[in-house]
Amino acid sequence: MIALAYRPFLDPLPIGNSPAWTLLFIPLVVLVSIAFKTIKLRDLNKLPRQAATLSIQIFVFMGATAALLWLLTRWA
Amino acid sequence: MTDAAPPPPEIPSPEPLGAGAPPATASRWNFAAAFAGWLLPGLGHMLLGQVPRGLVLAVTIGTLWLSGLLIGGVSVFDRGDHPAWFLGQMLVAPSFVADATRARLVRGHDGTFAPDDDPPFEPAFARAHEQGTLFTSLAGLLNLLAIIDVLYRDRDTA
Repeated sequence: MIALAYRPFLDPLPIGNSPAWTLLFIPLVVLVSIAFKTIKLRDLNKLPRQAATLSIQIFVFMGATAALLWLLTRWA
Repeated sequence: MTDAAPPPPEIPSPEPLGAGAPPATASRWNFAAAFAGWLLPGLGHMLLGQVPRGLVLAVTIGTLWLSGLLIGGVSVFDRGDHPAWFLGQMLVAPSFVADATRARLVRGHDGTFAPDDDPPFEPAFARAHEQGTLFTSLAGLLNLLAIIDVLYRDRDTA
């Protein structure tokens, strides 16, 4: 089998199925929070704090949901 | 004792309708700015004079879209195979360019997509395809919020 050289934007990143792909959620959540708060806030001076708060809230609730689902699949 | 009746209490006259409302502003539908925002995220806000807000939107939504393209490659845009996901992706206009580029590369290649046939791009599978599609579709949905916001925003609103 011939391995092709990686061509950015044409070929997918070789992330495979390693658990490291979950780290992609960090930039995803942060960027979504910033964009959402940029639209919602009237005063952009509050943007860093509000976006950080929203990011933390999303991470906490995603973690809580994951933990709950893990418990359900383990003991249900 | 006088029989003169006391004067009736003064009843305040009702205010005319809308007297307490804020003054009307020159709001209107910003169709051109919304179209510009679809072409390039954040451009609509910049056209309305809200350059910082437009720049932040351009950087965040643009980074999200480009990250999806980088993670999954050009094959994450496929309106034929994934029409539902493309509904989200198409809310950023460059997605049409990416889809057309993928289709052109497929048409110009007469072999299979096995590595031996030197394909023009490597199709994405599993996590790379999933994350690339998620990033680009979320960029589109966020841009939809930005387009709706710019469609009915006063020019003087900071």
